[in-house]
Amino acid sequence: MNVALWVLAALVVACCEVAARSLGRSWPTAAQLVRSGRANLAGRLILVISWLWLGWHVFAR
Amino acid sequence: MPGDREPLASSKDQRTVHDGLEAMRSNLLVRAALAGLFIVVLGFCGYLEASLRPFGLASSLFTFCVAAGILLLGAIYSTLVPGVPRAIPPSTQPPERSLRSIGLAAWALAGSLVTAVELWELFHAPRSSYPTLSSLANELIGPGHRAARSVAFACWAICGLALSARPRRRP
Repeated sequence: MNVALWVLAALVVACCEVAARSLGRSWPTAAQLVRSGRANLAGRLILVISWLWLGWHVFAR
Repeated sequence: MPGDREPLASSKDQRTVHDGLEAMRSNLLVRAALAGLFIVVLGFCGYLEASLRPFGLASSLFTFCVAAGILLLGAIYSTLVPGVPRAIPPSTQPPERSLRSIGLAAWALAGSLVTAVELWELFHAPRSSYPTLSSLANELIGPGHRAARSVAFACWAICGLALSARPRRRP
């Protein structure tokens, strides 16, 4: 299984998170991005629909 | 001296403080027990779900029924428990706007990279050489892996509960 590209993508995401945690408040963490998405109704709706789709895709499909 | 903590006036005051701490501890225990029970129930739901035939109507119905229950629970919880504003330690430095823009751009780049990899793998064959996120997840929590699947189901449901609850206000 060729997972090199996935490892690269995971490394980029991990680097973003590490940079956010080491640089303080200026660089948002993943949790802060999700929190800012939850701050308004439209963002919350998009997140809930994505969550529903994920559950259906992984567990039901 | 001003600023010194005043000694408790009597043993009655000490008893009041003790009773308050005991009530707080029992409240925490009740909450922990409820959370534990909730996780066990979700794990059991996941175990039941893993026994259903994939791609079937029953598994879709079961997943959406659990999701509806979770969303309802999240809405009820955020209505009944308004939430205490969390104390945020005061920042010594204001956030830099340029660094924030770079951070947002970096996250957008990371998201684009994940999407690009997913699309690249999706439009290439065979799947064993070009795995998508779904096929990778299938290796870990596919229909054959019942225990891992029930744990993943519980984690998914807990994420849904967190998403559906109204965000707590910050000071």
